[in-house]
Amino acid sequence: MNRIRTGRALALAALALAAQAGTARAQQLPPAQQIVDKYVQAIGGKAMLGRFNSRHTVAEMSMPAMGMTMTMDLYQARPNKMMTRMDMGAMGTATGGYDGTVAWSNSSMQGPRILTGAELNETVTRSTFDANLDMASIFPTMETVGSRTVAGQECWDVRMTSRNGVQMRSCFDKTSGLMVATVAKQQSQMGEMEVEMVYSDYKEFDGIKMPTKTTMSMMGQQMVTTIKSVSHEAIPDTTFALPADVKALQH
Amino acid sequence: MTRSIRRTALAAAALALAAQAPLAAQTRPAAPRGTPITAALAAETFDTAWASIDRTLWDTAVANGPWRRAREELRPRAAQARTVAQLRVVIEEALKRLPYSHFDLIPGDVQQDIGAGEDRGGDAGMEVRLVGGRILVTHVDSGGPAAAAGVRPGWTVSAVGTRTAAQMLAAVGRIPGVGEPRKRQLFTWMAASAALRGAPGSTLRVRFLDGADRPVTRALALRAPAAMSEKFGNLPRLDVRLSTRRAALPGGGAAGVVRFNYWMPVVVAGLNAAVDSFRSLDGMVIDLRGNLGGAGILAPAFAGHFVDRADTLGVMRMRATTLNFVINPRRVDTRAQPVRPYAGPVAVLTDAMTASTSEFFAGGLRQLGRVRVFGEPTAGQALPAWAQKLPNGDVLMHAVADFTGPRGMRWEGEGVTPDVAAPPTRAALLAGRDPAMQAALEWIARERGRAGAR
Repeated sequence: MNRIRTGRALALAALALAAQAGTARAQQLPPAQQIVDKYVQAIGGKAMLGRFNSRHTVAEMSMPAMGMTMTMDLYQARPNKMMTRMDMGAMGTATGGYDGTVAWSNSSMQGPRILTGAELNETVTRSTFDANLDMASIFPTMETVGSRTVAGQECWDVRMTSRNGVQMRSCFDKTSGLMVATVAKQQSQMGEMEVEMVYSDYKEFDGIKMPTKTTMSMMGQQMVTTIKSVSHEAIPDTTFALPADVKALQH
Repeated sequence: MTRSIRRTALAAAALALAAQAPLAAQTRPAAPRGTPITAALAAETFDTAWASIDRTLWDTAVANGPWRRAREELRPRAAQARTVAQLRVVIEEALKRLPYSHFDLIPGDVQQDIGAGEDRGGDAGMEVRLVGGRILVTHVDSGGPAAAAGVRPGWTVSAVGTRTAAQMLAAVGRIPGVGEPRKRQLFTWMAASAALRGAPGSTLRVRFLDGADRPVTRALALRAPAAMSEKFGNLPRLDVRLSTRRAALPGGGAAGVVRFNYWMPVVVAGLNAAVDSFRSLDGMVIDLRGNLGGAGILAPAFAGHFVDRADTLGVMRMRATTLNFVINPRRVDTRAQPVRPYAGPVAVLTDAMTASTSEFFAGGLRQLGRVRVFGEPTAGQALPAWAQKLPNGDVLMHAVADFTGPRGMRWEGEGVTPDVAAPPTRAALLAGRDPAMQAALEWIARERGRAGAR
């Protein structure tokens, strides 16, 4: 009996110690909102981010192991319009977008499509122009879950969940505050894929810092995206209009 | 903005990865021997090849068993290789430990030769197959070098240059596992097709037996590669050919016939246009005989022209990811006008050189009850694969996933068995008949009759 009591006491003590250790770890982790606020400051601050109403980014993407390169034009406008155009060399072109109402994709290989379900949710989430400025409104649930090292940089890991269920874990440099990595399960019509992105080579464009290099790992392969230019000139609204073959799908 | 770029990059990557070409084994010339390689580069090349497969091999039992042992046994030999040829032997030996198709090493110098089109880009404008123990001419392109020289389907190839058909068949006979009829057909086709290629503009002397078994010799002026010759990622430059025509049906009416040899993005516009132009016809024939595969993503994309509700052509299971080859019904034509997917009868023609993406297409649509398959059993080389450059410049083709059809059927090893067996015969070819095409057109005519009766 004594032995049982001793055993129980030890178990309770161990549990208590474990709980204390957990609390201590939680206390050492900064709140997610604080980390995100520091990130917004690090990339230019709210005032700077709020100055612009549109953005045109030109990037090059390569999959070196497969010998493939592509170029991309990304057009964005406040509050949530977006259009991308990719020239994929031998694979032809692929476009996609969101005009604030309809999300769509079109490629020379697969033809036009109107997005629904999880793909629509993701497109709506990523089309928000102020995504970086107001992360809390897009991801109402944010929690700091630990720290890790990415490409030699110590960073805070923050788990984020959007209103429509999109989940990701982003890691923010402990010193600079910049986002250095994201792990996310991405939805596509083909299925769910886990993707890890590592951001580096931050440079300033009109006072806003952006990672000019993103190394994406998925399905055992790597893709490197390199930003070539960023412009904040006004973009005509027609850029975001549905293409004729996507419109035809609405009939 | 970071998020938008990431999502766009992801879409591109997914498309690229899914598009990476599962192609059946390619014809290749012998690599030059004796090129020296440093011990460090040899080891790095072996390690990269081994690790690429170890990272992506979906079958963890094979990855943890034979593949681990292959590294333990062969890595020391790779590090001792002093020539590129010695290293290739070691890597190829490792690849043989894997019980699947689509694991192949393409020598870098072959890539360059084929890519530059320096010595192998020209072709004779005819197709050959192993039929009844003979290498027969099964198809002659109208307007091509063979047609210009008067070569006819059904003739027997007895020698190409100084190489006799008997020598080719003997060489094929020495390949391990070639007793399996489809493999024998595939390797014979590879050997004969390679022999029938050369520098564009050069002349190839080919000896035939004509329809009466009389020896005849023809000089074929090899033509330049097709305009659609395409370089896709790390794959060799491919001579992509697409032809379309209308064929009369027995008893009246017509069917559209589409024939192409690779599933490459360059054929997409032509395929879409063909479907548009054949939309009002009584049926369509998709001739995939000799189509070795290509970009996997094109199979469900093309299937969308023939399926009126979203479905899947199959499932690609990788180590940690499962991707569905989703068929999106094509509801818009090439002029951006609303249309319904084609609802008439669709026949698919296959043979032992119908491989990979072609097997996804033929087998998947048949499982969905949308097409009827005519001809011969397919190659059974049906795994999605990537082409990855190695440190020494060679390219490693390696399967990265298992593939099952919409109802769970696998074609790897088994192939797609036609609904109607219609192999070519010499008599039929000499009589100007194509048994598989004939059977397909007769079926479409019967379906037309049934539709009319309804």
